[in-house]
Amino acid sequence: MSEDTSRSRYQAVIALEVHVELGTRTKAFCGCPTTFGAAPNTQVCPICLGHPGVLPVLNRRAVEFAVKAALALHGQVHLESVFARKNYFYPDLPKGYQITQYDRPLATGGHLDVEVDGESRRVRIRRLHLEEDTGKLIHGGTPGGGATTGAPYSLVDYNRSGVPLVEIVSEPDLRTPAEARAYLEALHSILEYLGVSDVRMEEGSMRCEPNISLRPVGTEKLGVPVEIKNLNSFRAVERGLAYETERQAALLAGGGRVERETRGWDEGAEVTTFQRRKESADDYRYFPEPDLLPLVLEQDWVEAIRRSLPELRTARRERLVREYGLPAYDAGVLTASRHLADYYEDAVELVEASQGASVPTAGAADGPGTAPLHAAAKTISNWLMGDVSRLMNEAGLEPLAMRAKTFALPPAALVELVALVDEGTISGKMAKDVLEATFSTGKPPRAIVAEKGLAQISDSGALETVVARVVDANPSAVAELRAGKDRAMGFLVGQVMKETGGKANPRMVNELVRKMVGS
Amino acid sequence: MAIITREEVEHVALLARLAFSPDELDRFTAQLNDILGHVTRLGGLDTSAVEPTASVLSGAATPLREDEVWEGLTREEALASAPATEKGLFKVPRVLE
Repeated sequence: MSEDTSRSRYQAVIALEVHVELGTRTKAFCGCPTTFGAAPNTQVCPICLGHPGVLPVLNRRAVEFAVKAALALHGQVHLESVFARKNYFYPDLPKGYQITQYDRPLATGGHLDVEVDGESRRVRIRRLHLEEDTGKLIHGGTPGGGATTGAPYSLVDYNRSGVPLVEIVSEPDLRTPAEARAYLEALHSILEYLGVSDVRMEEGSMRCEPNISLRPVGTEKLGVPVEIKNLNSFRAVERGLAYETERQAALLAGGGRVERETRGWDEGAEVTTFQRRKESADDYRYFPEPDLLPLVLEQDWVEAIRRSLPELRTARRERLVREYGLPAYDAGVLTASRHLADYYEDAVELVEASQGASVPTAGAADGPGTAPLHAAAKTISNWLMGDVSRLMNEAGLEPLAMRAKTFALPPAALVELVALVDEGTISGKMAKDVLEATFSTGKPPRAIVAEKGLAQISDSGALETVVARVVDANPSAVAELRAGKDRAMGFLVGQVMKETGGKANPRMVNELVRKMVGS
Repeated sequence: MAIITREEVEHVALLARLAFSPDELDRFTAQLNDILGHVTRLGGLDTSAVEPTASVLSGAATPLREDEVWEGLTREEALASAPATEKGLFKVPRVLE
């Protein structure tokens, strides 16, 4: 039996456990800073090192961020929740236990709507709780010192120990690797919009551990779940789950059994490999954390946080379509990142301000006054989705970089570029070069145009002379044009462009040729 | 009737990384059963009207602190009591499974 047919006999059931580092200044239970990339063991204190006799004190902002995330995911926030100790021996935990929440988490329930292939599906969320991150282990080598394979020791950096995390657990509602990826991307977007985390998968501030089981199509009973670790990108999540689907299907189809285990994704080889048998939950001997009293939230505080929730992606996408007449596709691309959407709206608002009088009054949103704004809004969208995205990718920049004060192409520069094309100073083609120059030097588009002498010839007197010369020199093309052959027009315009070094305004040249030839 | 079996004691010992001899396992199983038997007497009380508590300080809430940086330890201080270190890191027996 081929793998394809064996796979089609089974349905995958996937649930995602996602850990997100909250973007607080300090750790969950002590005042150590959380700066990423600091030298090892320079952001530590007796509390996060688990010295005897210390007491944890909970960070208010960590609670606020967790509540924010729970509310945005439509979860029920419990006014009283309880911290618990999860006991296990591993040197990334200096205390021998992790402070987490167990039977009384901060929030339960909730959902996230996920779009795959244009279809929206609701994925239920089981719970969201607060906990602390662990330290980082470096196995068998030294950082930057090259791997000493087989070294009989590991090295530990406790800077990350105690950084606040939320763990968000979905119900097993996902059915394909693509859905799992879409869920994770939607979650990423919400957390980015909320500003509660920098949600960088590569740096580990967002980590995803899916579990996946297979069952014969048409049956209800869940199969044996396998957990996958070491998935450091959206792509890895999708690929890892796809691999695991194939592996389990082949096993089951061959009469084998899937073991309950944890497997690691090997990015290079694109396979999952066995890591360890899964310990049952009881083995962690959870019990209420005696060093922390229950977390009690004032209803007023929760409501204030609810009122402070920003507009999230779906709402913003719909608003961009409504207010600027953007196609849904454009609005979807632009709102994928809050930062890109912020940039976009800043640019459109500049245009709106410059159009001044043509801004529609309330209640006349569909009146004729919106047409120029909608046109400009679409043009800016085209630039962002096209050339600007390409330049960002080539430079390895993320959308967040667009919001930096030092960004080479601030919204005003892009608006200026669009205006240069609109007023006929440069052609759309020249604008691409100007954009690249601005992007790499930070000089405003107008300055680039002046510096490089790029301005189009839009002076009809100057153009008439050139057009007349070209018309005189090409009688056969003129005759063809008069005979209705439009190809000849392209030739004549091309000749004018050649004579002007590409600087002639093509629209004007077109008009002038038609006028002179009388076609 | 035993409340905790010898196998359970052995399992918990493993989780706690404690190594017991067969004699110790027998002795501790018996002792733990005595202790647990004693505690089980609490089960005879009627607690149906008592709210479950997660803390002995009933009704109290955990205090919260502002998200402000405190001074911690220097790296030298942090590593001072570690039995082994290397390049600013704690050095521990290899744990990769």
